[in-house]
Amino acid sequence: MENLSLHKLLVEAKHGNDQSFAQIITLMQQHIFRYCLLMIGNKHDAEDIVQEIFVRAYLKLHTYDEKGKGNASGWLFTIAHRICLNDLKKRSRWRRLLAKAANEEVVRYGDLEFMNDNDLSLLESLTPKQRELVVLKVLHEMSYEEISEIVGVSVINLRKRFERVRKKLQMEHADNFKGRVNYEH
Amino acid sequence: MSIEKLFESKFKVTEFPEIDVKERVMKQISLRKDQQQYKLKTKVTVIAVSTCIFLLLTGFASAAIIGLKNQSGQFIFSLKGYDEENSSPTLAEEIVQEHLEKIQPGEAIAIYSPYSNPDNVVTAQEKPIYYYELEEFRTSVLDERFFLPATLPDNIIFEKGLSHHKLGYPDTTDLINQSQANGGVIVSEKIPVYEEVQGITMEFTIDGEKYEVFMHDGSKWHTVYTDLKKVEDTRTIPFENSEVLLVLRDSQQELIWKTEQPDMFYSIKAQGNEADKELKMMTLLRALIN
Repeated sequence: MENLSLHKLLVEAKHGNDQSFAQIITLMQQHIFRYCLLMIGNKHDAEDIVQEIFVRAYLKLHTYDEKGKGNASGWLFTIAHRICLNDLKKRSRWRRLLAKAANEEVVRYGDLEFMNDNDLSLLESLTPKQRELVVLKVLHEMSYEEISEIVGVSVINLRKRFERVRKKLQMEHADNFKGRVNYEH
Repeated sequence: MSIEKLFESKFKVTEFPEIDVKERVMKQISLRKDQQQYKLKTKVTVIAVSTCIFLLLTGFASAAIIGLKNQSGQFIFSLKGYDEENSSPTLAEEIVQEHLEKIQPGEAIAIYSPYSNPDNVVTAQEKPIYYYELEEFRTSVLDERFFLPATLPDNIIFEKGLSHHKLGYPDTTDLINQSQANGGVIVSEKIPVYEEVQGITMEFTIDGEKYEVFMHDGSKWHTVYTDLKKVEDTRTIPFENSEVLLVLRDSQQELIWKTEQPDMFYSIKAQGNEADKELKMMTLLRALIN
């Protein structure tokens, strides 16, 4: 991602240039969509959320720090992070309601059909916050510092969280980690 | 194999679908902007600074529509009574002023009050910067649509002027949530003010009496909603190859003019319903546009 050109476009959009904002959508929509898709789990809902994210970004343009360090994509992903987590919370509440009505066990982390279809079932057992960390760190190649700014968690805690993810996956899916086993006592 | 390597290899072979939401997003943004002047049942509307216009149906106006027509006989401006979709402003002036105290001149604020506000109307207002010299004001408004003459007839005195800038659209969901989270209080937040000037308001004195002029980009001023019961009389008068609408309410007269090329809206208000006020308002309007 060209953070500098995105920063320039955001500044222009902040000053009322809607065409610049349209360019921002073109530049960032696939990145944001992949993040949402892996968080929400299905294409249709993820696409709706991407729309909501950009509309919200437009409404929040006045909060973009044009004189700041210029982590433009971080600003956008922060909005995406909040909207995705809110959406997952709503889904979780709704699912609990349905499950209660049907006297069934709750499926916790979403309608993750995309993961099932694409051999990403490892992500299914992770909490949304854990999944987000993996997606931002591995798929979007962000540093802990960048992720910390997006999700509002300290770098130290993010490292701990990632460590917990590693141990969890190693215990639950040992076959995937052949050649490296690390058990905590 | 580490987690990173494992997921890296999986993501590499994942076929992520492509999307294109640009058009839908820009359309949604455009719809929200259009909704700034109108009231909606769904969530919110933003009410910009505006004048209230009162009108009563007369023999001169069309039986169905009160307004102004162009030379082709089409209505270019119409006045309608408040209805379900478009009702009167809900926010008291003192509350607006209280929140304007929180910002500096040249800044703008969006205010949401949950009281007697079933349609969740949000009020957006700019705190103006006043100019008390005509020349200084003229040069501050860098938009040829609001070109003002350098000199005026001797009996027309410029008292003060201010510009209405394009405002950003507030995050109405956020405001409503804030209000609810704090037990249903009135909340406000700053919104952006853009450089684009969309209108100006000026105050003049003519022969010792005050006249207020409002000029605005006309694209959102094709229809104005008002309380028709408060209007006593209206009529149209020929003016500059078109016509103006004169409105009488209580002790106030108002002159309304709308042009197509450029698309502009004009309103001049004066206290008192003496007959000579009508002539003075037209003289003032003529002095401003020539």
